[in-house]
Amino acid sequence: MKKAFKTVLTAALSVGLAASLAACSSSNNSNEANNSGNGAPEVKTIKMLGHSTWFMQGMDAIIPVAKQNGFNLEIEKVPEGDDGANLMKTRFATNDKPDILFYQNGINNTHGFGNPGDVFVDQDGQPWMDNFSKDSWKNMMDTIDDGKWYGAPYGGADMGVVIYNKRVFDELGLSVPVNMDEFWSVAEALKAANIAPIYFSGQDAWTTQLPVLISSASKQGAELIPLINENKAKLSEWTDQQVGMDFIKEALSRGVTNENILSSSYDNAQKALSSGEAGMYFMATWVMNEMVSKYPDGVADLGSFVIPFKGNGEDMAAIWAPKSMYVVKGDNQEAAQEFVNWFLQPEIQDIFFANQGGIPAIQGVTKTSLTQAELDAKNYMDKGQAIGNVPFPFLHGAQSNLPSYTQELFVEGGKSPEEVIAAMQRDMEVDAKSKGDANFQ
Amino acid sequence: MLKKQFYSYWLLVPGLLIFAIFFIFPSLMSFYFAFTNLNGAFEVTRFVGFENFITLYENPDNILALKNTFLYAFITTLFKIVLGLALALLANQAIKSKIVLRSVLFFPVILSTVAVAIAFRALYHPSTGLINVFLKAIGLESLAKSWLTDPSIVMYAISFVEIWKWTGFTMVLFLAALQSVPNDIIEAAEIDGATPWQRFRFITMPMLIPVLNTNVILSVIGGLKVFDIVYALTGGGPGNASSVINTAVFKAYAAGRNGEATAANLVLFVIVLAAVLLLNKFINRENRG
Repeated sequence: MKKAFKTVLTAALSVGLAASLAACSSSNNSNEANNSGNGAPEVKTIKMLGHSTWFMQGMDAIIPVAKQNGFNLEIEKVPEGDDGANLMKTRFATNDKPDILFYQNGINNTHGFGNPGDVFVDQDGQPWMDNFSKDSWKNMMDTIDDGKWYGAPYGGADMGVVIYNKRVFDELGLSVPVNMDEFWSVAEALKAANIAPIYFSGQDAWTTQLPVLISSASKQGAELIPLINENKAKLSEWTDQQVGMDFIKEALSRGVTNENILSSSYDNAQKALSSGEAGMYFMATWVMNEMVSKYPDGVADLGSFVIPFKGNGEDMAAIWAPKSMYVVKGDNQEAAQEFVNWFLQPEIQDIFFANQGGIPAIQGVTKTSLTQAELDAKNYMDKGQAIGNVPFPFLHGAQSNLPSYTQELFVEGGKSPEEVIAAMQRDMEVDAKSKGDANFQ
Repeated sequence: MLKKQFYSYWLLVPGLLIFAIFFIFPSLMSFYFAFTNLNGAFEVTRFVGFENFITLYENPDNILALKNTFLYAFITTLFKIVLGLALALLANQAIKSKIVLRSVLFFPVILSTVAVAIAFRALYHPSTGLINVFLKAIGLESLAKSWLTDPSIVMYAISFVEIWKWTGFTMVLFLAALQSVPNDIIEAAEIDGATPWQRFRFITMPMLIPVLNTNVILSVIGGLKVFDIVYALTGGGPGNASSVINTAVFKAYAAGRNGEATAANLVLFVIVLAAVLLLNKFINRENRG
């Protein structure tokens, strides 16, 4: 009796399983029939992978338009900073790759995704390049490994500046400083008014490197980095880089920062800046996209200026080239490349930039929605007073641990600026030796 | 008869095969990769000898990670054993609420490590965290610290979370052993005039040695191999103040230096193996003695 019951149950489950599989199959078949039957473009699914805050209002506006044009975008979002980057690298290492990777520009062998030539599709000669000036973005968006262009621009260029609350400045009768003496005077005035003069979001280590990256954006870097890559110069000779680190130490010693820096997050900083609890924040203009959606009321109060480390108008704003989309070699690379070419048409970029800030890298884009802080920053670029934040690419991982090292500058008993630079030099030499670079053996 | 014997061994083959492919083989391969320049794309271009180990040793951040790992393993093991035993003795009492008590004490063990870390990050916040708010409210402001951002106390703060989460586990193991101690021996000792401490010292404790051995070894292994609670709470920060061996491994892996990461793992393997063998020998010698 028991045996008979088991037999009947097994048979019933098998029939049920087979029936459900057949139903799914017929459902899929009917979808395909619908797609091909009514004249609509065949829908291609494109799998994308990138940091969560990179997909905001612009991409939100693109997704439905993409679907109408036959692209079903499946976007997988990972956390910001190293956490998310490590997740992405793990996916590539285990061959669980997306169709399009969204990552920093100028990806090369040191980024941990493998040899770009083996993993990504070369973008040279693609239709979107007709509206792109390679000369303007040379050494920022191409890869140093072989000089090829694997990344297509995603979003706009950003500028590393000091974002400040203009309303607070006006109320206190303060003006944008043009040298460091004036800067410290402004900071003291803000402190006297119980406003955090300079906000540091130390909990998120990647944000602490901004003053260093901004000070590094100079012609000295552009001249020295090629020599450093060949071990003909040391990182310690790049004195402009240390300026940003010394600045952090001086701000801490003067007490012109927020409290509990290491417990303050990137989001805390945005809230404090927009509400007027903080006067100034070292960041790139990409922060404005988030603030437009999270703290819209405070956006109109914000402006930006270049920190006057050198003074006399010699300082340059740091440019972050647009993020990049990388078409991953694989079964779906044709569809992914088709999407990239479609997305980078000026009329489609108009839709993106009408909904999200950023300075377009594609020529012919006529609609933008830049906030005042971004417009202030763009002025520096228009006047030629801006340079790439890493003015020449590093061949080896000199800056791979910069976030945690700059975070240590805020820690009592942590590394000094000289020790940070020595640690970066060591990291670069270790990386170079592991790759068998003859200049470092 | 012989066929029946072989049949039972054949049943082991699939499981052993999976174990060999996913555990034994990769472990053996790591002994090779630790001496190469294995990169982020899992390519080996040359044999580097002891270069990876020298690189690990020459980096002062790695030495700090090693010290933090030993400190963490020692503190968490000590407190988990002592508190686990104390709680087991309490939960073994004939009290009305002992079942509820056991469940409550074991509850943290089943919580997700990441969820616990997120909760404690909020609790530990220097200005808005409940711990400091409570301390300030009762007039103990001097005790309100920057728990996760002060390099001098961050490892202790992380250790506390680990102890809070896992003491219930050691308690359960001790409790199971306590319940196997024969009552008639305890009663006989009581009749003979033995004090509670003497009963515990000469009857109960010797019978707990095997489970003590298990608990100590599990705690030490867990402490030396720690990663998740540290990474979720501080990411190894501030700076590198709370980095441990496995966060250093993770950093090397993230930089694409998989050979170096594997070498660090090999170092950890040797440390854990040495610790387990020494502890096992020491505790069992006490047991035999």
